[in-house]
Amino acid sequence: MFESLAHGFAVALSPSNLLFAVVGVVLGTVVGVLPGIGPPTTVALLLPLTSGVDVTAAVIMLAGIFYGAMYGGSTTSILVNLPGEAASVVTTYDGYQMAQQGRAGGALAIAAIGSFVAGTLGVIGLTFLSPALSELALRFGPPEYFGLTLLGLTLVASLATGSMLRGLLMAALGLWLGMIGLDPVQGTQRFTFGILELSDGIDLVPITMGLFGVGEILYNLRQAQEMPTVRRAVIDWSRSLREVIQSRWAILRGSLVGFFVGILPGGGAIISSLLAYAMEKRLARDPSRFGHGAPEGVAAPESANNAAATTSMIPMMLLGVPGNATTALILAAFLIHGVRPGPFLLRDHPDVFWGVVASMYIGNVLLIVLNLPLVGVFIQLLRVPYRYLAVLIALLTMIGAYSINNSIFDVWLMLLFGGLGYVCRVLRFDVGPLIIAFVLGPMVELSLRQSLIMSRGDIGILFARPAATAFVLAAVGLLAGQMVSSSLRYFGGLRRAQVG
Amino acid sequence: MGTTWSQEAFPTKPVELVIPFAAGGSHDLHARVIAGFAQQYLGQPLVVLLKPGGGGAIASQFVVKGRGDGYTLLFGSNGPNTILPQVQDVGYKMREFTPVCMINYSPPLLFVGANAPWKTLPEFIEFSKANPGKVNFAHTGIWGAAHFPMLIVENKTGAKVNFVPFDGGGPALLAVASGNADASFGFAAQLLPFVQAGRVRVLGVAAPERIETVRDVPTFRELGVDVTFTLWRTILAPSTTPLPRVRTLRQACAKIVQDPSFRALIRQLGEPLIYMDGPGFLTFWRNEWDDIARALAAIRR
Amino acid sequence: MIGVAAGVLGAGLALSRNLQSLREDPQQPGRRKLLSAGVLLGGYVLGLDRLGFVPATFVFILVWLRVVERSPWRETTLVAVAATAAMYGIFVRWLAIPLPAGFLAP
Repeated sequence: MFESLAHGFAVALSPSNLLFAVVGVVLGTVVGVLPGIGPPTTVALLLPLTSGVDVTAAVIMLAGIFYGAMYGGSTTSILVNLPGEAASVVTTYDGYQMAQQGRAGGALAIAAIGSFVAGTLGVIGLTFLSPALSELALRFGPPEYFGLTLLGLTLVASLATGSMLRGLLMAALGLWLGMIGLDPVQGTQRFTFGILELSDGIDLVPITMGLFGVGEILYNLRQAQEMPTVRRAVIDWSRSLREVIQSRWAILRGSLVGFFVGILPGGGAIISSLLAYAMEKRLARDPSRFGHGAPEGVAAPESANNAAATTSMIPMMLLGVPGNATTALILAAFLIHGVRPGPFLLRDHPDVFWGVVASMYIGNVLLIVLNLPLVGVFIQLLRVPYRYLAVLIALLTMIGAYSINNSIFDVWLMLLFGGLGYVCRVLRFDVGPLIIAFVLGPMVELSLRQSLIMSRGDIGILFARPAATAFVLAAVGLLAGQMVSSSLRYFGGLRRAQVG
Repeated sequence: MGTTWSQEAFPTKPVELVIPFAAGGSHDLHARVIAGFAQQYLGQPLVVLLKPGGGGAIASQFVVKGRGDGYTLLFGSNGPNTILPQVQDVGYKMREFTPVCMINYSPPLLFVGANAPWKTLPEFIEFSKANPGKVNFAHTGIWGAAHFPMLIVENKTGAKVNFVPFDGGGPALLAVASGNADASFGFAAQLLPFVQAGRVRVLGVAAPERIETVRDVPTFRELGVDVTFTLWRTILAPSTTPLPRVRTLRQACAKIVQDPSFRALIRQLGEPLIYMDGPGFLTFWRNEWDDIARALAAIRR
Repeated sequence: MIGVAAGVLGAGLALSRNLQSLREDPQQPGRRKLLSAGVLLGGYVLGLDRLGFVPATFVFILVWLRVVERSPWRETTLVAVAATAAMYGIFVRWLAIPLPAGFLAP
């Protein structure tokens, strides 16, 4: 295996492949920073151009765009509270807070370093564990998905910073929004009001761009004060270093979560970043730091989404089954070149596989080399008067929303959510739970119904297998624990009131 | 009006081919291959425009409502253009379109897990008849390529399976390969590696005749079950397009499918070459429309 | 179903709170900015289809900077031209996104 990897490096380091890697990661970072335009759109656009190029080079570039975007996505999350990538939603919680406290540079640095460590660990895991991992992906069935997504959903409650009621209301709204579209089992239209464009459900991008981007802009306009342009354009590197060391466990655990969740088709970056963040918050000695600028709160999700992006290449390459939109398109790139990913990729085209893997190592190095100095550049961006940033962000989000499906309808949708985002901010409703419930809700529903159909109504199927059981019990346990602790507090408070 | 149309030059600007499915799918890939040869044989570039959504209805509506001047074409399929109009009110039927040419079709293959007890299609069907609802059949969407043909099989043979919905061909394939589901319909290109790796077994193909890419798979008809489902890929023009322009497009298409490099590229995708010209396809489509109508009537009874 | 009920409850709660806060602080400049921005956003989407990407974008930036932010004319036009050119370069030329061309289409 080491010879294969060594050979892969030889392939990846050839001047043209190296060039494509550079182009890919740079483009990916840019695309990740730009709100609304994501890796799927970019890869789709570049597909036709790659047909003239050799397959390894093409995939190297496209993969570079993919994980590069995970580096860039955190930038706008931190600087302007707008996730550049759906996966960077969780980064806004603590990242933007850190920026508000004048520590934007620190946040960006942690994001970059966490991403680097995670990406590298991810590739190392890929190197040694790919066959085993693809088996794992294979065996994950509806009961397991149900358990995992249910666990994620229960964690939403623990994420709510501020009033629990508001968080739950938002989550309820998110659940409802996730139901819009076709019923997965019966094919009937739900809440589409006869609008054809809604029959496939609402895409995540208009929601995140609207709620975060447009909503934030509208709110800031309403405030009418000149946004204080950040004067502190200096990075305290020694403090950042200390924070990285402080967050080392967050990075490691985040990487691990992203690593495994990323393999699952349909899993991926968002769920991993959410799980990683929630896990860190629960495990932290002082959970109240989260949501107010805790470095771990940036490190965990960023590591998770990078690890997830890396491992999500596996089911696509070794099973021929892509787990998300971007890998589906990279699969198409393979097909255009006559290479069919799947169980025989390693056998028939080992140099392609190992070349891509090796270039992922290289890509991560390139990205950290690129991004750390860029931190300084990005902070300068903050000095641009907010006036101009606002227009541009508004424009970019609209273009981005349009480009998902070449549909004006999506732009209208996004504006609608912009209005909702504005209202939420005015009323101090946290928008995060809505998005998470929106993503996870349909998955919970689908996997539950699939499981019950498979077992013909026997709920025991959810507990028939070890992994599924573990997840479901964890979710139930969490919920129960939550209820117990809050009722203890409530009754404790009552008792104190009585006594005092 | 007549003579002026036939004498004027067409096309004089790029032609749009609208795809009713998402990026990276088989229609997208075929369209890109075609686009690579369009300039040579049509004189103008072919621009691929993706308009997914509504099961293909959005793209179809877009083309039907367009100018009908020959510059906007639909790369249609049986899902959005034969089945969907008959199960839902989408604002178009067959007569809104004039076929230019069919590039090929992909029929679904019935496959089961490697550890499944059924080695032939008749065995599978017998089992499903004797044990109604016991077989977990993965499908990829109501009236979709993994659902509709199985409904027809049920209707014609009295077999009954338990339909389990999945998010797409990939997840359905993984489910069967891992034993989470018992059987499903899938397409050759994606299935073949799994078949060769010994993880799934193919029992039959729902096609009018054997397909060149899977020559040793018997058709359902041969095995006594008359079920076909052709996921065709046909370039359709709105019926308001002037006939001379349609003819120009048809001629270009006929030349493209003869080009050896084109044929090689399509084969590289793992797909067959089953060309039908405009009028020929129209007959085919009419028959298919009636077949589907009958099947739907039988299923709904 | 529970989700819908909760959503409706929440909306009701939100509305009543909102009406309260509106009464409490009638910040005039803020409200004007918000409304004009809202109108402009809607206008852009409508214009995008009819006018096409380049004209709509240019007008959008121009009007926004002028009306919403009250920027001086010179700055406004400069930024509008530069930004529109940049957007065109990045999105239409480089990334080749099929953006609506409006009546300027060939």
